[in-house]
Amino acid sequence: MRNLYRYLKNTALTALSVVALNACVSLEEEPIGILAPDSFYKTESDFQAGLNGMLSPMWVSWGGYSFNWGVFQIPGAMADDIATAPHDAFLQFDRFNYDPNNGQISNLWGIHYAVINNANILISNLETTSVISEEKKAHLLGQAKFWRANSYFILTQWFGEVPIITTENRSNADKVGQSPVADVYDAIVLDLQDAESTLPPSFPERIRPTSWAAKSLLSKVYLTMAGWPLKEASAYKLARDKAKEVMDGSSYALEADFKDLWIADNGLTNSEFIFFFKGVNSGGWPNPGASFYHHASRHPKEAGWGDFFSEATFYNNFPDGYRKDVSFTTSWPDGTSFPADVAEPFVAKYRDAGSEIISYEGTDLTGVNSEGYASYVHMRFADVLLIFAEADNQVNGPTGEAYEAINQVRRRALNQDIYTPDPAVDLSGLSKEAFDKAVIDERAWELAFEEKRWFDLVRKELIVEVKGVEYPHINQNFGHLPKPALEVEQIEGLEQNTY
Amino acid sequence: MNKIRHYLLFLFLQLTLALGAFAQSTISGVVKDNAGTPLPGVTVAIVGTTYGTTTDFNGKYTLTEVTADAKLRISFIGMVTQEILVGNQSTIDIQLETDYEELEEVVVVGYGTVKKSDVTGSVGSIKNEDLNTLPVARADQALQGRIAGVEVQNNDSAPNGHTSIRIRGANSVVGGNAPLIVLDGFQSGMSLNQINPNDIASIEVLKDASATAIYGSKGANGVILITTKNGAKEQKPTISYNGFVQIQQVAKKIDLMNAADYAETVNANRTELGGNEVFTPEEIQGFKTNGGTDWQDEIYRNGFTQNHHLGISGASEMLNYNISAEFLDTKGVIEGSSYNRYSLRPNLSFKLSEKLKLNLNSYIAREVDHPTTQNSFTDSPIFASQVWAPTKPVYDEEGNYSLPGGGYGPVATGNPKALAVEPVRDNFTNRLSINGDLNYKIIDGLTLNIMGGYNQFDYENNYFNNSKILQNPGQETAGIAVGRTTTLQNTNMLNYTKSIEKHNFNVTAVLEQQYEERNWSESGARGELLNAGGYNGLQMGSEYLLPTSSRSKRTLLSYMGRVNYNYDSRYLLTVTARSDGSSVFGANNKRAFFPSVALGWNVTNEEFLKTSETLTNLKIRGSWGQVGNQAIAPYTTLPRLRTGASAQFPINGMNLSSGVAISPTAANPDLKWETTTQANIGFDAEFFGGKIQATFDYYNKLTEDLLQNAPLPKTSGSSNVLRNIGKVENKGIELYIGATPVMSGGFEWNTGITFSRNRNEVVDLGDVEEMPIGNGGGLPGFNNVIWLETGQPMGVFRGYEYSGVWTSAEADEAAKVTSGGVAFFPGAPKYVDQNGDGVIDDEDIVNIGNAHPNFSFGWNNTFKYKGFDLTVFIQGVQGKDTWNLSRVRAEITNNDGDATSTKILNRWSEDNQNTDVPSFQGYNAFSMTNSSRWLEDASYIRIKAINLGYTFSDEMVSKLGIGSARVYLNGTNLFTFTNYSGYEPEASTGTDTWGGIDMASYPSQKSYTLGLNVTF
Repeated sequence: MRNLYRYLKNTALTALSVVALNACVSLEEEPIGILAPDSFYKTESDFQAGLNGMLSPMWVSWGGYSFNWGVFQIPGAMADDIATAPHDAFLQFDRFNYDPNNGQISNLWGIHYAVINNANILISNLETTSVISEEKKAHLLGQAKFWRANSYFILTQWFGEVPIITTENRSNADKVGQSPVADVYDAIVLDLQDAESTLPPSFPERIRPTSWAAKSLLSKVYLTMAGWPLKEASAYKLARDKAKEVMDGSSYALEADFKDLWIADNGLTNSEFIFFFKGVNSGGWPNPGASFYHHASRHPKEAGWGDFFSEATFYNNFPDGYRKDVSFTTSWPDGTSFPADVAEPFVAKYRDAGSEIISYEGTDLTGVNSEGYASYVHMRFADVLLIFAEADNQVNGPTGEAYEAINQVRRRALNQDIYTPDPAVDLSGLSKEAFDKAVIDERAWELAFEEKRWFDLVRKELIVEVKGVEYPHINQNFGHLPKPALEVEQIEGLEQNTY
Repeated sequence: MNKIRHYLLFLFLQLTLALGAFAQSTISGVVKDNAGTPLPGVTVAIVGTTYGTTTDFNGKYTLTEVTADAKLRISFIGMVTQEILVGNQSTIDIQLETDYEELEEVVVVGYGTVKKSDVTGSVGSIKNEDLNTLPVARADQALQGRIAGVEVQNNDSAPNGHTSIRIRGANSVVGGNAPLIVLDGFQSGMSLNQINPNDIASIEVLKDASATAIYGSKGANGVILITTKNGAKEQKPTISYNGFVQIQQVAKKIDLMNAADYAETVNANRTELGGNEVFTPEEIQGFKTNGGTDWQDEIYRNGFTQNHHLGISGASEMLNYNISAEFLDTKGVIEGSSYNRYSLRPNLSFKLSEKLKLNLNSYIAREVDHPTTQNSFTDSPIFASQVWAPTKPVYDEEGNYSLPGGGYGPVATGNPKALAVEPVRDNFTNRLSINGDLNYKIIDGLTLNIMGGYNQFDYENNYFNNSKILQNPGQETAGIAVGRTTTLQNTNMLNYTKSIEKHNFNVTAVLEQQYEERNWSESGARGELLNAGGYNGLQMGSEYLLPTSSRSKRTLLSYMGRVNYNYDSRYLLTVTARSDGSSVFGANNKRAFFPSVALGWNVTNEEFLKTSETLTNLKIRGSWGQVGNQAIAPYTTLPRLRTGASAQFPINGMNLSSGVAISPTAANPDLKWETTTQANIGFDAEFFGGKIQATFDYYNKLTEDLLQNAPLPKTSGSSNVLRNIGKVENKGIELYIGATPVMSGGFEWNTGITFSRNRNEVVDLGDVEEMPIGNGGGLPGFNNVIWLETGQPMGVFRGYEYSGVWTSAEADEAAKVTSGGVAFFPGAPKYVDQNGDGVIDDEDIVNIGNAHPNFSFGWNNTFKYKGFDLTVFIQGVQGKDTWNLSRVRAEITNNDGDATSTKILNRWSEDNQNTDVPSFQGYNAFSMTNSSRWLEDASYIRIKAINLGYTFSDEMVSKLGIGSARVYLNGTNLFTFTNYSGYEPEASTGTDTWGGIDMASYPSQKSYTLGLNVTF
């Protein structure tokens, strides 16, 4: 018995010494190299990094606007300028066969809400910080608000009534519901008015939105508010005035040569881009990083994927001339061409400077920018001119100023001097309605494949007129995409669009 | 083996006897066992000398000239050794007691061993000899079809190919389903493919919760325990050599068109779709005369493998040792692919004193892998060889690789030959593992074992892509990724064994701590000057890949206890409990408790069956327990910012600037373990003294708090969060039947069948009934094909149901159905209009299959006659579906390329109505990739191995001065019966939920082997 006791004691001691080893591992996690959001913002550089991060969802490897079928071309395929390859997931758009589970829809939604949420966090941190100067703070706030407004604007154009998310309700995102379209526009206008007043007229970097960018976007927002679904006719005047401010006050102007807009090297220097994303071809490898990736829009004959292209009808209606040559690709290195051998014309804008410009001799395509530093243009001066022409006509009828605005675009389209009137080219003597139609047509041609046409068709309630013959099942409600199924499923009060 | 050893020993003793000529008296006697049967071959030796003898066939021994103070030591395998003082006796008869501990097979269970008869859990066991049916240098493949409930799938058949091992199905969607591998007690992170079967003494697979619960939070997917070899008791130094050479050939070729047919088909396509013909009649005539390129022949070759394994083992009073060295060299069947490995495994065991033992097991290895790119539609030579135009030559007139494009064929896929040969892929791996333990016997029955393990795994994956494939100088890329995983383990274990009358106790208490640190970094460059030094001169690049690096740590601190109790070896009880604390879980859920209990009844130890000669062994087992899965990444519970490439933005329009953004994955501080509760009932039976054996198990597993990447509303700025939601159930049966139907006239036939059937079902998904979990494949239109749905297996496949092609006779009917506003027509694919609304849209998408097999089996037969042995191993899987995605692009023509498969020759036309291949126009108009047309039944039965060996007789080998020798011929994968049309029905890009997608995996091979096993 005593022996047993001693053994037990020995055992206990041994066990204790074993337990003493215990101190080696700790169950608390101390992350290495992983940044915690609460304590991150300490310097101006940190805020700039926040701004970069806020923008990154829109211009990221294989996603956002940098991969040019993802966010705009495929969902834009409902419009008459774009058609897609026969892949079911793409055709759903092209044929108005909307599927709320479609990944493109979810991307479209997610990218812009990612921007909004990042902007929210950035803005609330900026508003409380004292580590940076008031001027820098104003500039950063202005940029964050600009992009937040832009994101809501894109969202409401695609989806109508969408949630307004803030830093406060973010943690309960499943209960945010949705806001009436008018409220969404109120938020957009408020942000843009802030941005307009806090942003400088220029930045050393062309990519940063300026006060002019805010004004331009505001004019587009007002123009859109005047159309479907809000139909606030009074907004035309606001649109007109903002556009006029930009026309009169800014240094932006039409590029003399339409071709030069699409030459990647001109991206940062041309006079026409007001706000845009500029692809870069460094650091983005092996994925095309923050570059504009073009394979999707090029014909397989040129090592493209042919995921989207133009429509023959659109091509046929497109007025002949210089701008048409720059906008479309209709012949290929192997000697084939549209319409003789290929059923559809292809898009040329995103191939550096268009097929007619680049020589096919010897099929050397090394000059063609296939993945790299071309630009995705959100807003350029031609757009502002046409906004003005349309809005001014709505307010005052076709004024001389309105004629001049549209005619400048028309002259440039034929590679003529922009500021020299030419009766053979210029519009004149139209009724208000005819002028309006002329502007919308001009927009279709001038801004073809730039994600503008579909929104024009929607706000002007032209969907059924333009696409209804081909797709008799559509109505004006098809102007909004279905909201992503998972959002509707998860968010209380978020209603699916009906058709 | 034994015979030879005895023979040699006998010879040796004869010699010593002849020398001993100076002692005093002669003693003799008979050695018997406790049943009174005389034992031949028993060693009778004088302690402290080399003098001794062995008993003859009547158990009789005689020793001459023995002094009175001499002590006899009588020893025999399986018996307790006795020592007897000679004294003045001249006749000493000895009765040896059976050493049950040694004689009875012991089974390694976690943290200890138990006698086979005392096992209460469901434990599958395989010994070294059974691992050698397949001539492979990796234990995972050797395990396929061998243990019921253990599913081994060769996801690809590359030289260093991936297998997935699943024990009783898959429990988890994102937590991982790979079993825990424990090598000699060390959870080192080693995988089975690195272990040469020749180094393995036994593999035990713990399947039910009673067996796995002692591994707590790591045990949910089952546990595989590997015991490596060590020198046997009192074994003289033995050198063994096991080696083989092997030739492999691609098991099958895909049936693709010749150049002329291809050219005509391309022309037909262009004509049908209103374009111009690509090939002139003269060109086609030329192809008919001269043929074209068979791309499969261009990239495939005969593979060659050699494996040499040299071991030396032995044991003395002080030291048991087994030191093995191995060389493996595999040249794959695809040009450019190869893998080799050099390894050394010294296992040492020191007896420091009667009470103290030190074991030291080490492993050091170097692997060099040159893999082929798989599962890519642009860079895989396997895929390329299936879609490239046979009309194109390998090289153009200038000797460069021919390029894609030219108005037909694939657009973005490189030349198959170039893709096979040109890319440099140099993956180097170094491994070091040291695992030691001190075993101290405190008192009889009470031992303390302190174990420490260190494992270091270093990898360096390098690549260089020159510009020859696409002839795009300036686009050369090179890069290096390096990483290290360090694993530390300390296990402190007390074990107490006590028997009080018929009550037998074994109590184990364990304190264990584990630490794992992973770090990696990656860099790369692009530019023409890289041609100079490839990945060894990244500084020559003209632009650089954003360098990235990371480091993470995880710890686990555990307490474990186990009580094994049995009464009279009749009634068995095992109770275990483990408490695990893990760093990776949220502050509120750091610790978890995993209990289990098991009962067993050795029915044949009861009086009423003890004498039965029919039923010689029957044990009934039942168990219940809970096990966890902690397989989440460190820091998942903490809020983080996204950095790196995906948070950059080119704010200046010229280059990228770093950024920070909200992580798409939200933090979840409440994360905890997945818990699997498992009940198991089964029996082990033996009839006629082991001539027939059977093991049966039924189990039911319910995994709760499933870790799931739950989608968040993207409205919140994050898109998902890891959450514990949902339940998955796995239930099934396992059956093993082994028998020796014939054993007479020197002929012996042993046969064994394993059968496993598992039913996997999603029971609950929280708030929703179903959720899509992805696409996979990367084919346009191949979207949302994998779903979780309650009542269905994890990862059910969804798509349109394909039912052939609309015929001309059905023209009117077809016209009533539309998709996207376009009406169907003869020649168009026919998709079932599930809701009958006349519109084929997403409402017609239904469940069309899943990748979980209905059942799988293995059937092994060994025939022995004289020196010959023949093994035939058959194995199969039934009821598993696989998306054959490489077939999609071989059978269709679209902007991405032209059809190459001969099936396209059977496409619909007015004259060919009875077909399931649509016309070009038809498919062009309705090209649903997510349709059952591309989903195939991947069931198979295969004669996995035929192995014919010959063991040289003792006379022959002794003349050569060697211990034993066997040569064998083996054919592996010779016959496969399947309807799957791809290379290999087992092929899969992913596993479990993501399994069943085949995107041109490395093809499987038939292999022919010549092998040799020798000992000296």
